[in-house]
Parts: sequence; C-alpha cells; structure tokens
Amino acid sequence: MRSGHAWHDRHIGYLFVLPATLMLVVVLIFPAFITLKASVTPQGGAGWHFTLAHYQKTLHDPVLLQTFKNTFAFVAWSLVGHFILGLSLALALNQALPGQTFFRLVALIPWTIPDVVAGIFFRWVLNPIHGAMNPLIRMVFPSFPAEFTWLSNPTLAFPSVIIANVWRGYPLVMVMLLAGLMAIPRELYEAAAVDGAGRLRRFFHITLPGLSTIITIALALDMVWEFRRFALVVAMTGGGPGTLTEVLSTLVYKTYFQFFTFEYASAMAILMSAVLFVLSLPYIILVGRER
Amino acid sequence: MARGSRRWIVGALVIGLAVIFLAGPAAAGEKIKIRFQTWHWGEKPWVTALDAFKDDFNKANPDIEVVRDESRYADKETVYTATSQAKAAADIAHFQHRPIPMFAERGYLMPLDSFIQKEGGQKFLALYDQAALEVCKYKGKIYCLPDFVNPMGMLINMAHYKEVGLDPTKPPANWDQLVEYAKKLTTGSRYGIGLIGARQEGLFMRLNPFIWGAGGEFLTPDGKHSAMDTPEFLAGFKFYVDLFTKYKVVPPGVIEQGAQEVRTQVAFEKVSMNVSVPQAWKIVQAINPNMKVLETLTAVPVPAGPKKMATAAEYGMRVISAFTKHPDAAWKVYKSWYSHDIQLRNFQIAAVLSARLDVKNGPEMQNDKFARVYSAQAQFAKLEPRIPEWPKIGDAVITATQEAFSGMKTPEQALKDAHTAANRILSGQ
Amino acid sequence: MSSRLSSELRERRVDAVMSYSLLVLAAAFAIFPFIFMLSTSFKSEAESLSLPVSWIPKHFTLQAYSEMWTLKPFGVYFWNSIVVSGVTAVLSTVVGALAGYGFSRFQFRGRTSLLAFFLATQMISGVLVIGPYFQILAALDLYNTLTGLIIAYVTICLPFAAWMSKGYFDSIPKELDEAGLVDGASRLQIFFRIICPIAVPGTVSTLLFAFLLAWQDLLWAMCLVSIDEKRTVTLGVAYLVGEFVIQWPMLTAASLIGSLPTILLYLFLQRYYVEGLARGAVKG
Repeated sequence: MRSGHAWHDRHIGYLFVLPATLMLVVVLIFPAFITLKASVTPQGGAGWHFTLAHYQKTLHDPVLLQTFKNTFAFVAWSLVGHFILGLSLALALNQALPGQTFFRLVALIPWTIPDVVAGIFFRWVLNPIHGAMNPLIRMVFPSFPAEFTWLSNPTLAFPSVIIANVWRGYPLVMVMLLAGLMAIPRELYEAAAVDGAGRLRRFFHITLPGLSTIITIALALDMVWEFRRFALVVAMTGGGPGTLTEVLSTLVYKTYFQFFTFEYASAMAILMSAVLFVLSLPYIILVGRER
Repeated sequence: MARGSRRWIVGALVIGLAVIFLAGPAAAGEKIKIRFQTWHWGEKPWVTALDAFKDDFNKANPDIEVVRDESRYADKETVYTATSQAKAAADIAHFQHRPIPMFAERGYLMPLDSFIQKEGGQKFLALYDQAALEVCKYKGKIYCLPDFVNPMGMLINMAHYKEVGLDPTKPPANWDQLVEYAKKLTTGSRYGIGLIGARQEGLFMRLNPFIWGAGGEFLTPDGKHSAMDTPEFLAGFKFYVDLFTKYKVVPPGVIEQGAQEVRTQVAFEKVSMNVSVPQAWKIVQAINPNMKVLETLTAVPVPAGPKKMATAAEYGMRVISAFTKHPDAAWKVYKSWYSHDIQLRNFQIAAVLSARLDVKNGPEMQNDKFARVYSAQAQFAKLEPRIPEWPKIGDAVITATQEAFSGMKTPEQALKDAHTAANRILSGQ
Repeated sequence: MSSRLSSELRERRVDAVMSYSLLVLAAAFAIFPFIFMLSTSFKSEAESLSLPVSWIPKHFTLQAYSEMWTLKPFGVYFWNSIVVSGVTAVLSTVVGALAGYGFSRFQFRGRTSLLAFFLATQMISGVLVIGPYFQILAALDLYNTLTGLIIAYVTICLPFAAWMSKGYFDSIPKELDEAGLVDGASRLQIFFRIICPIAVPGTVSTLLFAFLLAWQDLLWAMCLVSIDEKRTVTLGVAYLVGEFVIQWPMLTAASLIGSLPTILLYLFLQRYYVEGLARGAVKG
C-alpha cells in the first residue's frame, strides 16, 4: 500500500509539471539548441563542421573581460539596492498604517514604466544641456553648476545607471517580500513581544527566517534578470563612456545585430549562460532542499 | 476562488482561441500586398512624401497595394535580420549604405540584375549617380539602386556670426579658422560648434571629415591592416577631440549628444555651427517653428583639412527582400519609387539629395540655397571601409573617441588602443 | 502590565514614525521622474524641446493626450497590450502554479534537476532565441499575431511563476493536503479547492510580474509584429523615438496612461491580499 502511494505520488508530480515543462522545451530549448550549434560552427558556415575557435576567442577578448567585470558590478549593486529598498519598504508597508494603499501604489509605480522608456527618459533628464535634473538641483542648491554632466562623467556614469536600475527594479522585490511577510502569522510576533523580545530580535529570529525561502528565490531570480538587463542600459548610455557601462546583454546584442557575427555572439551567450548557471547553483540546491 | 480560478482558465483559453482566429492571417484577397518598410513613416516631413507615393501608386495600380510598414530607426537592422531569418522580411526595406554588404552576404537581399537587364541594363543604370551605384554592388551583383546621397556640410547661424563681428559669407575655410571663429562664437551661454560623441553612426559622419582631411585612412591600401597609427590619422582624431577638451568650443556632455541633440542645440541657438546632413535645416525648422531658419541659417562646406578637402556621406537605399513572395510586383513598386517625379517630390518635401542624375542636376536642386552647397560637396565625399569587420572596428573607434572626450585616456593612448583592437579584429578576432 | 503596554505603544509609535519617514522618502524617490513626465506630457512638442528646460509648462496643453488617440492609434495599441498582458498573466500564473505545486508536494525523481532546468531557461539570452523562435512562428503562420507574442511571454514567465508558487506552497502545511486526501479528494481537486484560495497572496506578485513583463517587452514585440494593428503600447511609445526627433509629449503621455492598467490590476488584486491574510491565519 505504501509503495503504491509513493509510485502514485511520483507520477502525479510529473503531470503537474508537465504543461510548463512542455512549453519551455518547445519554445526555448529548440532556439537554445540552435544557439549552441551556432557557437561551435565556423563563422558564416553552415552544416555540421565543429570548431571551438569562438570560445577560444572569448578568452582573449579584452572587451568581453571588461564587460564581465561591469556586469558583475552592475548585478551586485542592483541586487543590493533592490533588496535594501525592497525589504525596508515591505516592512514599512506591512503595518496597518493609514494611507497604506496609497503608499503601496506609489512605491509600485516605477515598475510600470517599460525599461526602454525609463532609459530614454533618464538619458534625457540627465543631459547637461536639455535635461531637467540640473535645473531641479539648482532650485535647491543655486551654486550647483548649470551644465553638470552625469552620463558623460566617467565616475558618475555607472552609478547613474545603477540608480536608474534600482529605481526601476525594486518594486518587484518589494512585492515579493511583502507577500512573504504577510504569510508570517502575527501571533509569532505577539508571543515574542510578550516574552520581551525587542524589535531587532524579532526581526532576526522571526522575520528573516520566515522570509528565507522568498529571499532566496528573489535573490536567484533577480540575479538572473539583472544579468539580462538590456534596454535600460542601451537607451541610457549605449555602453559609454567608452566601455564603462557595457554589460553582457548589450554586448551580445551588438555582436549579433550590429557586427553580424552570429556565431561569436552565440558563443558569448552560451558562456554568459554557463557563468549564470554556476552562480545560481547554490540557490537551486537551497530551494530544492526545502521540503 | 476555486471555481473562479477554473473560470479564469476557461476565459483565458477562450480569449486565446479568439485571438488566434481574429489575429490569424487575413483571407487572401486579389490584391498583392507589398510591404514598404522605412522608419520615415513616423517622421515629419517624410511621411507626407511617403503617403503621397503610396496613394498615387495604389490608385494607378489596382492589383497591387503598397502597405505601410514602419520600422524603428534604432533597430531597423535588428528587425530585418530577425525577420529575414524567419524568411518573413518586408518586401521593400530602407537602409543606409552600411549594412548592405552584410545583408547581401547572408542572402537576405534579392539581386536586381535580372530586373535591370529587362529595363535596359546599362542605359537604365546610367540614370543614377555612378559613385553611389558602386555602393550597391557586392561580389559582382547589384542589390539596390541609390535613393539619395547625403554629403555632410555645415550649418552656420548667420545672426551669431554678425553679432561677434564675423562675416557669414566667409565661412571657415580651414581648421585654424574653424577654431578661431568657434572661439569668438563661444560666449557665456552659447558655444561655437556642436559635435556628436554619442555611440551612433552619426558620430562617424562628423569625425571622418577631419580624419580624412588630415590625410588619415582607416586601413592600409591592401585593406588588411589598420592604418590608424599614422600621424595624419592622429592629427585628425586629435583635432576633433581637442575642439571639446582643449579649445572648449563644444557644449558639455558631448558623449551624450547625438545628432538629434545637436540639431536641437542649433534650433535653440545653443550652438552657432554644426556638421550636418542636407535635410538638417528642415529638421531644425520642425524642432523650433519660431526660428526663421531660411533667414538665420545657411549651409557652408566643411572646412578643408591640412592635407585635403574631404567630407563624409551617407547613402539611402531601398532593397528588395530575397524572401519576397511577389518579386515582380515588388519591382514595379521599387521602380516607381526611383522614377523622376517621385524622386523630385521627395527632394521638395524632405530635402534629400536624390541620386537620380536628372533630378540632381535639375533646376530645383541647383537653385535651392541649401541643396546647392551640399550637392557640391558630393565630389569630396568618402565612405568608411566597406568590409564586414567595419562595424566592430567602428565600435572601437567610437570607444576611443569617448575615452578621449571624457579624459579617461589621452587621445594618443585611446587611438593606440583602438588601433590594436582593429588589428586584432582584422586578424580574425 | 501597564508599563509593558505603554512601552508597546511607544514602540508602535516609533515604528509608525520610522515607517512614515521611509515611505515619504521612498515616495519622493519613486515619483520625481513622474512629475517631470507629467509636466512634459502637458507641453507642446516645440516647448518640450526648447531650452532652457521648464518644469512647469509655459503653455499648458492637452494636445498630446488627444493626439495619442487621433493621430496615432493608441486605442488599438492599448487593446492589444491589455489582451496580450492579461492572457499572459493568467496563463502563466495558472500553468506556473500547477508546476509549483508539483515541485512542492511531490518528491519525484529529477525534481531538483527540473527545478534547475526551469531556472536555466531564464538564462538564455533573448537576442539569440528570437531568430529561431521566429522560424517556428513563421512556419505556423503566427507571425504578426498576438498569439505568437502570448506564447513567447507565457513561456518566459513560467520559471518565475513556478519558483514563486513553489516557495509559497512550501509555506502552506501539508496537513491541509492530507486532510483533503483523507476526505477522498483527488490531487487536482485539492489543488484547486484547498490550496489555491490560500495561495492567492503569493500569486499576486506572479500575476503582476507576468502582466508587466508582457506589457513592457520591446525586443520580442518589435520583431514579431510589424503592422500597426498588432502593435503594443510599449512598441507604440518606442516608435515615437524617430531618427530626427523624439515626440516627448506624446511619449510621456502614453507612458503615463500605459502605467494605469498595472495600477488598476494591483488595486484589484489588493482585495485578495487581505482575504488571503485572513485565510492564511488558519495555519500555525
């Protein structure tokens, strides 16, 4: 009887995941396979000749190396920004404060603007001649230089892009964490308060453990998405000044659609996916281990 | 919610199916639809010329329908590549000259030789600017006809010139004069000249006249190595950068300024000069309707460099997709677009310099205050190297320009790095 | 007793003050670009480009808001976007929840690998998928259809939906399932009747995410749709960036109105947050 139940268990499980798996395989795996094949095909060639030349090239490509560094920094800082802002806002919004719905909506708004629009818009706003940012700052600090440059400034360009990305992306983390917070029963907090636990202790002993799954998932997913962030960076800086804000996804895009070297672009993309996969292994194991 | 969720699913499926049926391919009518793709459908004043062409052609040819197909300037090659890979590209598309070899190489374009033969071969081709026609040829076949030729010139603000005591009828003829005049024109809130530093094709059209004018070339004569390490190339490159870093006659944030931004600066009198395409004056007028462009601006040649007079140019051309389902209908539309009357109307509405010789040498273009100057520049126009590696090399040059503009590297160092990168690219990297 | 109460009250007040300050600061941070977008949307095209830049329009006009619907078919764009995003949101949430439930409740062989596979599909660069996906669509004659878009978007959202659902289902005790089993319900029935109602707060983020992903996407929509009738709002807005000028007033107006459906969706889903809270209190 018991083994029968377990057999039944396993097979019903497959049925539940079948529709999603099927869609993923059909829509994404076929193209992924084409990409893989392209990455080992000699440039411009067709058919079944194989070469690892493209991968060898990636090891010697200084632009690619710089781009990898930029991407890691971009992802790391964006994650930090998303989580600090997202967690603190989720905590603040989880309380029964008046005006809660209004604040929830307002906090959500940056998410509703498409990447590409945000990129174009920020680029315009930060422009030293046409932008609205400098006049705004001057309203508060009149001695601020009228034609201060943000995106042309080698030191400020990268932080500007990151801040724009944090602005655009924190609501998702916030919404996810808020849902997680709501699932933590109030009784736990009340009991701890009765026991005399302070706010900090309650946070570390109740809130964080209760959120741990969601935090793990959010971290993993956000990491993968920020790696692929594309339209915002392209629209804001085009990768400049020089290669300072070039990230992997923009480089792959350029290499494919502007340089027309499809095969090399494929190799870069496969490399990018491989690195991402290695980085997310800890999360997969963590989440897989739950239950 | 349980029953509700089932309802949701059913509802979604119903909508999904409805969408499939409603959105599916339209029933095949008798009309042959030719997708005429360009990004200009969304631009004033071009859209007037395009609409006129579409309406006139559709009326005159009831069995063919020219369909408006809008691409986006920033992604025109992207979309064409993706759709060509699916063999579903637009029948007729519009590009500048740069991607033509790459599209032809990948088999996306239909060679026009057989159509041209039927029209009279060489006699037909002789109607068009021969230099521009060369740009349409790739590996012995012709893939397009040249639509319009845009040599670069300069726009100057005559009122500003007069204000600082300069004579607008005597524009800068060489680089020393350019710097001198620009410095005089740079007052408290205005700058002498607007330049492009943003990562876009337009940057080359402003930079290259200086490089070529100094005698520099991108490649060695055999086309196998970079020639960016010559003193001449450096002189031209450095001059462009120095205008911003040393002489400070260019507005700040040059790396963020693209063609649009610079033209806006001209329109709102933030700069007194810029290097521009022939249509620029019309665009400036559209940006600032309050500026009396015809009275305030005038077109002048790009100043000659120390070694020679050179300018950049871009060519507009239309291509027919290799995957079009109606090649003969497409050719009919194509030929009509390149006819005399249409080309003349395009010039009159959009101020582009047609590559059709009888329009180019016709009275309308010759008597136009702006067109005349730009047209005369065509003889000095050069193109970037037309090799498949160019986009990557060009990208490295833009990087070098931005690095030099922003002070990250000296112009010498930035150029050196670009030169190394170019050689790496040419050797197969 | 009373001292604990008053310290609790004090704590709550400090909490409230801290929270409010944070919320106000965050609101300012979130909103300030919108203020400029709003002001730009009320300018004429010429004024939007003019120098010096003005935060308050000198000549207030509703031109952009009316031309959106008349000069450009944003009505059609909105319809397309709502259909595509709505169907995507619902389909991906449902299919993803099914998968998430499977991952959460069943220890089948290859479970961890499949989880990894789901995440791995998110790492495939969209740039390279588009060409081949296109070939599939063109072969099925789904080019220039909303269906082609929906299929792509749902597939992209599935891994997130599955992972989020799994995480949320994990926090719902298995005892509930077992109670249902004892009552003789099938697994599917348990899923729909027992688990789903409780899991609603968790689906809110998935629904919103899928809706927004479909709404905001540019690359796929741009390549998969070339005719005006099938264009989405985001595509319509992106096309306002031309070679010669950017039509700022219309761009900002359309973006602002384009953010309304998501806000409305969130308001609508808000109710379920509270409901879910009440039911969620059953456990523990």
